[in-house]
Amino acid sequence: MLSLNNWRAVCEVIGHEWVLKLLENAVRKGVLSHSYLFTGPDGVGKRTLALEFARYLCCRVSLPPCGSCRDCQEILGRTHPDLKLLEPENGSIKIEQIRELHREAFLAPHRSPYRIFIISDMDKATPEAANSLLKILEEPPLHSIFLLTATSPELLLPTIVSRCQVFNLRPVPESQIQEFLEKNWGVESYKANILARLSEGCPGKAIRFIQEEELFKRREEDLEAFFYILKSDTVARLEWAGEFGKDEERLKEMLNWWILAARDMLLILEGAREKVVNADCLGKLEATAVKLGKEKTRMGLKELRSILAALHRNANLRLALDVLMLKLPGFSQEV
Amino acid sequence: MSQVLYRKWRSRNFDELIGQDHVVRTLKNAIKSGKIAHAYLFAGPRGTGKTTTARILAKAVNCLSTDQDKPCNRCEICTAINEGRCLDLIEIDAASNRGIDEIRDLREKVGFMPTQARYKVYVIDEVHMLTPEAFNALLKTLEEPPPHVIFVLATTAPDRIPPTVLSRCQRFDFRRIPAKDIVERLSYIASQEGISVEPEALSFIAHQAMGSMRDALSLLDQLRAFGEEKITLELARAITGAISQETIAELVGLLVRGQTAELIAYLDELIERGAEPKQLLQELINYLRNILLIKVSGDKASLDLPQEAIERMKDYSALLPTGQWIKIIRLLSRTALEMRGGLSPQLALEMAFLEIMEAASAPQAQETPQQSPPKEAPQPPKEAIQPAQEAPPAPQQPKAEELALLRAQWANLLAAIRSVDKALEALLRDCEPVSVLENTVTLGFYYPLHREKAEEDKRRRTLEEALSKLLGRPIRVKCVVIPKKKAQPTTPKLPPAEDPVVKVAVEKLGARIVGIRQEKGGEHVQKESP
Repeated sequence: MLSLNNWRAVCEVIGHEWVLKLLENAVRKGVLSHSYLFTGPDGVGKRTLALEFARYLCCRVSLPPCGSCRDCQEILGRTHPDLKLLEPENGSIKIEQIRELHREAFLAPHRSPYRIFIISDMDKATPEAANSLLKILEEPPLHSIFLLTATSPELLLPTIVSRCQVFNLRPVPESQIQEFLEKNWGVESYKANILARLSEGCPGKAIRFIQEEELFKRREEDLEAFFYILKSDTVARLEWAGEFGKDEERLKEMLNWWILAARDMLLILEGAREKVVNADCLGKLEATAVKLGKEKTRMGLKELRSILAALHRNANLRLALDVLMLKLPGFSQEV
Repeated sequence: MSQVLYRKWRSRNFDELIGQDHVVRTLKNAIKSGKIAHAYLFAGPRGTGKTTTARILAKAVNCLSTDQDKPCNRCEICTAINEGRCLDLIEIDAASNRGIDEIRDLREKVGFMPTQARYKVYVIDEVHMLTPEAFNALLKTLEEPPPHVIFVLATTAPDRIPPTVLSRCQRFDFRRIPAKDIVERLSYIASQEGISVEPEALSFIAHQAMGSMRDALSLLDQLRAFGEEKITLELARAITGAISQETIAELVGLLVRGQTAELIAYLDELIERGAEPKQLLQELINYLRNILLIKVSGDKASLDLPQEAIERMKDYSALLPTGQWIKIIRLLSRTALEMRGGLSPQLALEMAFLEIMEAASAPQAQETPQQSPPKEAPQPPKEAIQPAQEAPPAPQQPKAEELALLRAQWANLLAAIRSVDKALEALLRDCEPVSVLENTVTLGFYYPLHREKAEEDKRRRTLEEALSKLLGRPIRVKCVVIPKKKAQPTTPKLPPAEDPVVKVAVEKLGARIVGIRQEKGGEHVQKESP
């Protein structure tokens, strides 16, 4: 469980100044829309932004919100009576949840001027649920405001997107994430820099790395494994694959790291060293890249991506891994 | 709280409705002549005016005014409908009330007379979401409703409506609204609302909206909230993450010149400046498509672009052959799919660029055959060459026995060549000797491409050397293309039992070799665990 202090750290919006400015203006001028859609990759700060916006709407002390009044605190703790947070249950947002929302939307707010509904991961809504949101999203009761989040507008019904003001959140600059990690999480500057690079512009990812140290450690293991596989022959590779186990999520995670590493190697070969994400293994990456050469690195990257795609299409894990082991180029004599 | 623009400026009579003249004219005439159908289906993309038209229709059939031009928007009923408090306009959200019970409920109430108006108008919105049972329960009522009832079904997905329902309705297809109509309406609304907007920004908004009035007004609303004095094109671009044509041109330039590092750096810079990777990709594909169009047809008239932009595209189009452009576009379209699959958009885009670079540099890469360490390849067995040296002096005629010899020794020849040029060996696997003359050996390749490659000077020399050695006299090589025969001669690889993969299977997993089956080009080993 996070302490309240941590909550605040988690709930600080990093980057996205243009969105905040726009929302603040809208509140000030009273030209609010009744539905907003925030889109962007996982961890970029969509929900954090939605919560922050809820504070803009509910804080009665100041604008931008004070952060210390009862309303602000309760929104942070998600206990505010006028705030409802809808999330996927068992993987999807169901029509029952939206029906419940219909009922609540018509109730008057308790003490704020608005009743705010945050629907998180709208792209995970069932078609029935999404459709049943349409009418109320177009013409909701006067005091209701809907804040939707989704990874991409293309994943939603066009009829939903057209009813919302859409804010496409962009990756946050690395420098900003690094500064945030140092200041709010007390991460030392070297590690903060690496985490910022790894996060691909998503502060949420960086925070996950801090909270789940396992994750960070696993990355190092995965990179080690990658280098090992590249220099091993088929027999050793298959042996290694045999010991890998059957955890599909784990395999996808590993492949993602491998893809990133292969990309880094390619960038090194192309002479764009400063763009390397796994900056802490730069030396090793470079040595491997030089040994492997451009052609093979490209081929490897292609194989890795096609295997990852196959896994997303429910390929057999064991087979996929073995095929990868056989196809991945390397610099052992045999392969 | 103020209403959003698309609600506030919902059209209130037929004349305000834009871009749907075919619908408006028909409905107006029907009302004038009193020939009102009892069931309508409004179908069309989002934001084209289906619900709006349904409401206008409800007003028009019930309007109390004696005026020809209905609805009046002044009489009791019109104002009641405008304020959403008329009991005889029943709007049903079919997506939330999609079951048979809701339809049964509706059927029960259909029989009651209207409270104040002439007709009870049922607007069933998002009707495609009704369950099949609900649709079927509706059929009888829809066919022969009481005289005081009008049904209006509205949907964005008419293909999901059963044909039995379709055949009972008068169907109106709503079209995407042309950009110029949207611009007109937008500038009217903007002036009424006191929003000042650049004309370029208006037309940008209209294009972004893709024919949907609601999208256009949502965007205008959003831009208004930014609080600038005047809404400019730049602001609109920045908010939507759209990218200017110059930027795209710059990217394409780097792409065709093969400046990978600069390209990646530029991409990074664009994204930090707020470009949206997906949109960037889309714009890029559009741009390349235009280049391809110019390349293929040279037809400028079809492109709605400024002259200098077209000139630049023309310059680019000359740099690569048509096939390459198509390849690049295809790669990029695949990337669009990949982005949906959850790969980080920026990463996906980078990969696509790297892949394009690869595609562009592929022909050069093939020119340098792989050098393989000689120790890896088996030395050609000595005995293989012996009989060739003893071969009798050649007569002028084609030499059948030498051809047979060559065929028999083919595998050894390949092995010998493998130690010199691996790629050549691979080429020769798809080929067979056709004839042997005094000083010419004809080789038949199955594929023209292989023939070409084998005919390259360096390879040809290697080949001639090996053949001369085998036949004991100077030989020239002639390459032809022949149709492929059933089975090709295979080259011996390691005996199956010594293949590293098989070895591990036997030693560590306890497998047993029960049989070896030849497949084209290699061994297929059947294994069985005890």
